[in-house]
Amino acid sequence: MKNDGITVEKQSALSAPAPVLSTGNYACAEGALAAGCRFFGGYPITPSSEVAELMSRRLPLVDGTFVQMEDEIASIMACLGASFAGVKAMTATSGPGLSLMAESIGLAVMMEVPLVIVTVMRGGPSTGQPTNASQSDVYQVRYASHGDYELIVLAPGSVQEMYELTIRAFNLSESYRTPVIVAADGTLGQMMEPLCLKTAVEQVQRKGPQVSPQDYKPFQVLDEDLVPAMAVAGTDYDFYATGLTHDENGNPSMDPESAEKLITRLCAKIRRARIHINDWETYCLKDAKLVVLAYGTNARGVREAAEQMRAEGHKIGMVRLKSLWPFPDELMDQLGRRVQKVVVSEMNNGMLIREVERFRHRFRVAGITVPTPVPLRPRDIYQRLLEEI
Amino acid sequence: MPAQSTDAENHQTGHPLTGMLNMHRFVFCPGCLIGTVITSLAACLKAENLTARDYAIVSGIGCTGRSSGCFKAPAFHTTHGRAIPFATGLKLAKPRIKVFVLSGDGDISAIGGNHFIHAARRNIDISVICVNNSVYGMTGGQAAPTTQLGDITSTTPYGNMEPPFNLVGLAAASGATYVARWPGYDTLRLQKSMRKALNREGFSFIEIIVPCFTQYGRRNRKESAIEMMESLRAIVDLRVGCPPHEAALDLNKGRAVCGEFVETDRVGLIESLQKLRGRLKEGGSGKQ
Amino acid sequence: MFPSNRRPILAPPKTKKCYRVAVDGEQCDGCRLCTLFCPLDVLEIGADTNRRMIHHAVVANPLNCLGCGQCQRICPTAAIFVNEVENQLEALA
Repeated sequence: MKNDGITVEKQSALSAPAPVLSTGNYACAEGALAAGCRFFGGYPITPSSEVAELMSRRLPLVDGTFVQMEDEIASIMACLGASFAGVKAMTATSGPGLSLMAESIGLAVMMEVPLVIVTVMRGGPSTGQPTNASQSDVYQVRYASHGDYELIVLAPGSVQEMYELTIRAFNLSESYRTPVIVAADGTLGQMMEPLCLKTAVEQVQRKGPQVSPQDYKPFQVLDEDLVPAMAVAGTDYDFYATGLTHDENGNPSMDPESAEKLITRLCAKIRRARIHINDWETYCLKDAKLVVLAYGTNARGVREAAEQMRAEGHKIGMVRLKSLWPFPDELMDQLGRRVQKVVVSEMNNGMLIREVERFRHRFRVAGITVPTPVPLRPRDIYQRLLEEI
Repeated sequence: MPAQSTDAENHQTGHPLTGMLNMHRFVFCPGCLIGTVITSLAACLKAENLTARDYAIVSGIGCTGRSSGCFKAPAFHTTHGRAIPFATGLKLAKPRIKVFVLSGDGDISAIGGNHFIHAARRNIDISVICVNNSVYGMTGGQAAPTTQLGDITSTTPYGNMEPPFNLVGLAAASGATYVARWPGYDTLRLQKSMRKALNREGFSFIEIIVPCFTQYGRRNRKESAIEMMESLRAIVDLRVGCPPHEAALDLNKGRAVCGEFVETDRVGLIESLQKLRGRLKEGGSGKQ
Repeated sequence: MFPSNRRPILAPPKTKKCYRVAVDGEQCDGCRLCTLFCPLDVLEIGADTNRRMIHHAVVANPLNCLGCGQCQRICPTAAIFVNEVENQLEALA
């Protein structure tokens, strides 16, 4: 049954036979447009403002809506409203803005709203270093909101990935009816690289109701993926979406069983799908005894150091994470079977390394974690790796 | 104990609003006029022949926050103070539907104050119905920005020291193009006002005075809910053409100026956006 | 046939419209607003209680009803509605 024009379709993005030179922020906006985003509610914040700026120029050209709201809270709430009107929506911010959006992320999880939030991480805490990068929001992107929930967070490592992973973020958010965060960093947002725009982009649309309005229950789960069908405003469907714990009819229910049932399902919805969600890139894992784990722009320096060590004959491998949450426990299992030591390199005081340390019964864990606002230099990483190997 | 036979059976299908309302979601104290506000809005929607595909109700948190679920429509119970930006996004993404915000005085003017004034400034085409009971009822009777001077609440046990907002003046100063205030029991004028709001374009703001005995009246030595309503009736001063900043609402001093205070036209955000899209389609630069 | 210049002394009888008031006892929460707002004492709080142990409103004097609709409009739980009926018999139904 069609639901007000939402069907699976292929969208042709702007065709560009040759790569264009683009910043990471612009690439992210291009990816959003290619994925079908037609609403952007935003608030300027360094170093992500360019995402909003490009969207403000392009959205009216494709019958979309750009609105600069009065603050970050208003931005994300406007995106939630737009998503419930059936329009794919996105907002872009940085650490301080994401802190403000925390409550609303929880609302998006509870109401099961497809939504993409781009955060271009900068030096923190507090106002920190607005024009520099960092990777110190690793836990914030996952745990910003209160309560028990799972969240999908993707970690692009290049301008091309800003484009591709934003598209992926939209598709994941529509598939699982959940907010998805794209966590870049300030360097990635501002640097320029060649970008290959795709001529055909696969767009996933949210599941529409398959029953009549009289029989529709907004949070009833009929499929194995634990995702309920989503009715939107402006159709014949009436439904109640509330942030309170609710039953499948949307009725607020304060008994313990309802809470258990709902929260278990909301978490299982994402956890069960982790093998489809999680993504990483490997380098020379085959005979590696030591593996370096990195993500984002910092991974480039790590890669260079790893390549140098390989050239010198060290049995070193590398994994670059393209998604941070749900944390890839299955990757840790794989590494646990063959690797003796995992070194985690990140531009913070030690965050993702804590997740890796959960597996220290399988391999030894060390860190090259520096709370620095610029990617670590390859030679510094190389020196540290020599000590670790 | 069996109830006296009333027209229960007939009634389930008989009441003209059963198709518009979820009767089991009326959770308000007996006599609280929030229910009346809800049934009034539903009656207006029905009179305009609007169905679930034509409108959406958005509310915040609090007693009035529970009102959205009473409607058989796309209904959204969002977070405290954030109903207005949610409604803004909803309306911008689907301008065809009529969007109503049903929130309390604390939701709109305290935590939601910033969103309130900006939505009015933008003249976004939504209708905000603010139920003003001068207190935070649902959470146990804490003070609100509309609590009268000297009143006792659970967070002002020595008497409130902060003067209240004049929400009508605030809305008008921020740029709302339709501003009205009514006592909650004046259903005829209330419904007429609601119908005007839903049929016009631009940011409409209707403040409705709804006495709260349970959390506010009890602490301030009122006799009963009925007595609060009778004293409200005694002080309501219906005016035509009163300037918004003079629309005093002081329940202790005995002034409750009601009526319509602003009714103007101004280009709204939706209209500007549509004009922009039109200009861009014609191949222009988009600039006006 | 011939024009008459007689005028009637009394106004011709008008048919009085009849209204039926229906109260859903289970939906009513006994707030008494309807009894306050009815100008003609059509409604009162009855002796019986509903499933929630509340003394709900009952139609005490149905034939008084003028169809003003105040009770229907004021009721916060949409427990009352009034409609026009053909005759007094139906008003009492």
